[in-house]
Amino acid sequence: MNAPLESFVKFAVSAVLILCGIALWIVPKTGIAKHIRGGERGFIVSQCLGILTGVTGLAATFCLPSLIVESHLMWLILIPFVVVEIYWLLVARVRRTNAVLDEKQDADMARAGGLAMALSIPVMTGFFLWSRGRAVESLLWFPFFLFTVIFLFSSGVLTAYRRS
Amino acid sequence: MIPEAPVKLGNRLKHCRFDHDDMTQEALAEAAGVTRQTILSIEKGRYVPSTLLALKIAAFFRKPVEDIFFIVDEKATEGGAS
Repeated sequence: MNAPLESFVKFAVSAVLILCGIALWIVPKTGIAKHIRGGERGFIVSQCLGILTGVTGLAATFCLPSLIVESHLMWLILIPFVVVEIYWLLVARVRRTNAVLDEKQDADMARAGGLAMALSIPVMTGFFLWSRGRAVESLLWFPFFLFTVIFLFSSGVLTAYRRS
Repeated sequence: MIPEAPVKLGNRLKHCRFDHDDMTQEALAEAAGVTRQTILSIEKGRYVPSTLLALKIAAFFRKPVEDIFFIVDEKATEGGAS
């Protein structure tokens, strides 16, 4: 167990969550709110960040399995993705509506969600078959599943959005 | 007459934009409350807009919605082409 890394991760995650909570509470009441738009660029950046998070998480799961689980590295990798989700929550708060995406973005996300669900089954099956007879830490299932789904969903959304 | 499937939705959105002082896709997107990518996808026939969006676009150009969007009967088109 890497104690300094674990302490840093806990501090970083706590700090980010607290700052995001404060931002959600304060920003809608300030002049910064008018700059919080979301929009096409924000949507694309969100998906790119999701893809990056998924790839980084999967790489860390296989290359640094003990750090991922015991030192909570998984949560550190998730921070940018969580910040992006909080940003969209902020957009909804500022605009005072749940409809922060346009209809095509909604449709692309729905399609990508179905695809991610369908593809996660063979991927997890493959992981299950691969892990049989191997000494694989049982706790790795969760980060593997989480980062796989994030990667599949974000790449599905981006592909659907750009191709159609 | 209601055509049988398969059908596609055709549009004259590009012509309407050009007739409207060479309006950009981005400007139309902003007017309609969608992203530029959505307008682009509609023009290329890759995305079918909702009724609400189609009506918004038609109202913006001050035209009936049938003047901008129409059904393309692919079967009839293929028969005509061959």
